[in-house]
This record gives sequence, structure tokens and C-alpha cells, in this order.
Amino acid sequence: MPHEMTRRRAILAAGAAACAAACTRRPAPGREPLVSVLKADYGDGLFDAVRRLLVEHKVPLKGRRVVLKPNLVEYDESTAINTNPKLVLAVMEACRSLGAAALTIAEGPGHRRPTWDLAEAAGYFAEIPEFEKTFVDLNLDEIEEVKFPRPAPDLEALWLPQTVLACDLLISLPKMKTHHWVGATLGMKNLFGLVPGQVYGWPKNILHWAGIHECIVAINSAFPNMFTIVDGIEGMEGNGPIQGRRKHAGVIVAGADRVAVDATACRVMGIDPRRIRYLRMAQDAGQTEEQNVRQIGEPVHAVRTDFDLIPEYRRLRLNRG
Amino acid sequence: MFLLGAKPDVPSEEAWSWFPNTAGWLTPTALAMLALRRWRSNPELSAAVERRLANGEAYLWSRLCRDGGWNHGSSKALGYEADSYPETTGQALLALQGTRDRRLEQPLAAAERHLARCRSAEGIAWLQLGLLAHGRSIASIPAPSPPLRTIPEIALSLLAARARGGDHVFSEARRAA
Repeated sequence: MPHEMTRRRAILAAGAAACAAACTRRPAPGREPLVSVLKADYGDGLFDAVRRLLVEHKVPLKGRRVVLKPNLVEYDESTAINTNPKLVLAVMEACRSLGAAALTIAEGPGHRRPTWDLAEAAGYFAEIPEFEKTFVDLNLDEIEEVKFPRPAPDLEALWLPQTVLACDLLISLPKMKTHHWVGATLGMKNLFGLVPGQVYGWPKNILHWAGIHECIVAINSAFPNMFTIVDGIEGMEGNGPIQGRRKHAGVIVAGADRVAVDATACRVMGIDPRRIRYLRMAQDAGQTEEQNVRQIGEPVHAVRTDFDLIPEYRRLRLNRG
Repeated sequence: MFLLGAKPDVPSEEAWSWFPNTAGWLTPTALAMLALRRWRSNPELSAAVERRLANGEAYLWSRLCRDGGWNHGSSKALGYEADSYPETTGQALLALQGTRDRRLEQPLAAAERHLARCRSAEGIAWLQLGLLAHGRSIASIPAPSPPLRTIPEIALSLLAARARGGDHVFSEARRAA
């Protein structure tokens, strides 16, 4: 066994070296990933804004089974922890209007078992018609073991929910928040909510023991068909992802390249994406560098809203260029 | 026997984990304690049971939140205090049934505060079970919203209703009888 472990680790180390080499790569001219930054609010114009966004990015929706994955964690009326249900509804209606065959909202909160009660407290029942028929609690879904295309050194596979494994397109709908373990939580980290509590518990502690950054990259490698729409209309600063303060940024950040979207969202928050380890690890075409992303909509400097960082993460602050 | 053999993953905190080779957390610890109490009267196991129950109690007290209740088992994250949840506060109180400790006043008060404003069916049921296990009377029960929808919620609510009627399904006295 020690020999096998050594060999396995050597292979993974070689993989990591290859990834590091990939970090220095740049996309071919004209092939830069597209990321939209839109000014937005939770008002009546949200549906039109999201629909335009999906059309602009040519998101394949017609006839597709789509899962919307919001960030639903805990509820505290004094701050902004969860993806706003108005945005979830706007995305759902926009997908429906563009021909999606089936739409499911799905989430598996990481700390608390009563998922439906969280959804009620967070306003999902009130805002989303027939929410109960649309929602799947991923903590209790049917599951299947999945080996990761890009395994973490200490985590090669996980049991994951069938609802998401069987969909044609996953739309990650994270809240724009600071995070006290990884710096920022956005579209990629949002996939931790896919991991079933019925197997791994509340919290899904295996992901911390195997390395949070490594697990973010591993889980994302199992879901190649993903589009990200970050709820940055109201986010969270300070001691996120639960105990921070509400922060108005007034933007949506979206695109099909999850690393490029999260890196752009970081820049909007005044965080240097090159200092977020999981983004560095996941990038395959230098997406943490601004010049390697084709950004449309509002320029970052026009919407940048520095999110307050706890002392442990002040080193992540993006210099003003 | 499995519960007696469960190894602590963090040596100083002898609790039960959700998943092998990870840390101990509140819900599996509270449920393991409830299960172990069934074996207290077994002469072959009682010493081991007492030891593990003491481990569990020590863990629960070490994870008390600043507001007097319990959350999933992390009262501090990166040095920042965290708040408690209704359902886990009820679970921990139920696991601590039969203990005499002055510190209980604080979590009992936290449970009563939670119950006054809780809307979660699961939370309401666990809080009732926890309070009743310590002889607290329950004046009124809030209506859950959304209403009962899962089998565990219904089962827990039925157990809480029986406990309100004086049938304490988790009590050691009832088991002995």
C-alpha cells in the first residue's frame, strides 16, 4: 500500500505540475472566455436582464433539463446569506421562455437538516410559484458514486445526487460573499451544496479534511456543463459566508467559464483572484488574469465595490490599477 | 458495540462523527448518547457506556454557543462566535436528560427562546423533546411553517406530542419499566 500511495501521489503531483504549467497558458486570440457584468436590482427588470444575458451567451436551453443551484445556507434577516429568490425566479422564467424542457431548483444546505424550513425562511415559498413542486433537497436525493476527472489528493470520488448528475445543464446561482476559509465563495464553491448530507453529514466535513480548495476543483470537474450567474446585487462582506454584513454591489456576473466568472466577481469585490488558491488550481487558460477574459457589460472599475475583508484575508485585496 | 467503539477523531474531543475519519459533530453525538443510555443497565457494558456518555457530555458542554444553545457543533469558526439552532439545541438537551448540572439553565432558557419564535417543524419537535426531558412545561406550541411534510418531521412531532402527554419516549425510566 505505501508503494501504491507513493505512486498515486507522484501521479497527482505530476498532474499538479501540469496544471501549474496550464496556469501560464493564455487563451488563443479571440477565444477568451466571455463574462458579463450587469448592473441590476431585484425589481421588475430582472427577468429581461437575465433573459438577454442567456441569449447573449448562447446558453443551450431548448429542450434541455436544467438544474438551478442557488446558495441556501442559513437564514438571518439581518444579513444576506442566501441567493435572493427573486433572482432564482427570474432565471427560472428566463430559461422556460427560452425553451428549457424541465427546470428544477436544487440545494443541499451544509449546516442544517431542515432544508424546507430554510427555504421558507429565505422567502422561496413566497416568491417562487409552486416552489414545492420545483425543489429537490439534494441532501436526501438518490445518489451515485462519481470518480472525479480531476481528483483531490485525498478524495478521488464522492456520492453525488442523481438530480444533478442527470441534468443537461447546471446553472450555479451563488451569492457574492467573502468566505472565512477560502477568501471568496462564488460559483465554484457553490457546488459544495451538491454533496449529500445523508452520506457525509451536516456539515460535510469530509470536504474540509480532504482540503477545501482541492475539493472545490475536484467537484467542479464532475460537472462540465455549467453556467454561472452570481447574485452580486446584495452580497456579504466581512466574516462570510454566514456571519458577515450585507453589502450592496448592484451587479450580476455571469458566464460559461466558471473560473473566469469567479475571477471577475472577485475583482468586483476588490479581491485579487490570483490570490484565491482554488481559482489558481482550476484555471487552464490563465483566467485569473483580467486580460485573458473578454468582459462585456459594465467594466469592473465602474462597479468595483470593495468588500470588507477580515484581518486574516486582507492580503487578498486587489491593488487599484 | 459499534457506538462504544467509535473512536474520537480529535483526541481531546471524544465525540461521534457523521462520516469515518472526520471530526465529531453535535447531532451524531447526541443521537449516540440517546442510544447508549439504553445499555446503561447492562452489567457487562455499563462501565464503557458511562465512559462514553461522559465523553459525549463533555463534548456538548465544550460546544455551547454564546447564546446558550447549540448549533451543528462549531461554536467558533476562525475565532468568531457562532449562534445556535433550534433543532440542535433540542437534540443536545435531550441527550443531556438525567444530568444535574447548574449550567443547564442557560441552554434551557435558550431553548425556550428558540421555541417562542421557531417556525421549523423539526426544530419545534426537538425543542419540545429537549425541554420536556428536563421537566420544563410548554405553554404553547408554535404552528410550523411550512407545515409537516416529511416522514421524520411527522415522526418527531408525534414523539413530541406523546412526551407532552407524559409519555417520555426517550426516558430511561420508561425503558426500565
